[in-house]
Amino acid sequence: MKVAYIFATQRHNISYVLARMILPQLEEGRHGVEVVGMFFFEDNNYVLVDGDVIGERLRKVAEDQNILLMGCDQCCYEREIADRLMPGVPIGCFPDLYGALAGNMPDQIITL
Amino acid sequence: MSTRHYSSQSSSRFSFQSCLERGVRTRRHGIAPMYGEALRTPSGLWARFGAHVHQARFQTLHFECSACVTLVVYCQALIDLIEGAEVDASILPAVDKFVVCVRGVPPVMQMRGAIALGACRGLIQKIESNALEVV
Repeated sequence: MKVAYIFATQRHNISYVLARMILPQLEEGRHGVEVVGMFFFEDNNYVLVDGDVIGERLRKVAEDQNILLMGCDQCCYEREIADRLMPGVPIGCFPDLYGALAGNMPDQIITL
Repeated sequence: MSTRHYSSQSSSRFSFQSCLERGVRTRRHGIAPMYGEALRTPSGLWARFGAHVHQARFQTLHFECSACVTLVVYCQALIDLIEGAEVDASILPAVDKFVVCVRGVPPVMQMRGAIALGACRGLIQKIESNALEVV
C-alpha cells in the first residue's frame, strides 16, 4: 500500500512522530507501507529548511525511496522560509501536491 | 511611458506579505470598465487584469486570478509597478527582472510572475485594439 502523510498539526509532530517513529522506520526499511509523499503545514515546514538536522535525514530517505516532500506555500511565505528550503524541495498548495503525486498516487492520505 | 515611472521602481523589492494582504483584499472587489483576456495555463492557473484608463494612463488597475498566493502577489506587485503609467506594453518589465522584484519567492514558483505579466499584456493589447477601432 502507498501512503502520503500530511503534517497538519504542530506540537510534537515533527520532533516525535516524524523524527522518532516514521523516519527511523523508513531508514530501517520497516515502516510497513510505501510512503510516496509528505506535505507540511504551518511550523512543520521548518523541518524542510536547508540545514535542519531532521530535515537532512528526511531528504536522504526521500531521495533513496522516491518520496515527494512539499511545503505549504502560504505557510512558508508567512514564515519567510520559502526560498530557504532544502534544494529540490518545492512549495505549493493542494493542486501542486496532487499534480506532483499524480504519477505515483497514494492509496491512503494520512493527516497527522 | 513612463520610463521615469518604471525605472524609479524597477529595482523595488516588494514584500511578499504586504502584496499578499493587499492583493487578497482588492481582488475580491472592484469592477473595471475593461478587462483583458484571461491568461490560462494547462495546470489551471489563470489571471486577468482590468483597468480604468484616463488620458491614456492606467488610472486604476484591478486583477482577478486563481487562489494561488504566489500569483496573487505577482499580480498585486505588477499593479504597484504600473498603476499611473501610460498604457503601453513597453512599461512592462522583462520577466526575469519582474520575478525577482518580490522577496522570498523560490525559483520554482517564479514563473507564476510570467502569468501575471502575460495577463497584463493581454489587457494592454485589448485597450490598444479598442483605441484603434475608435480611430
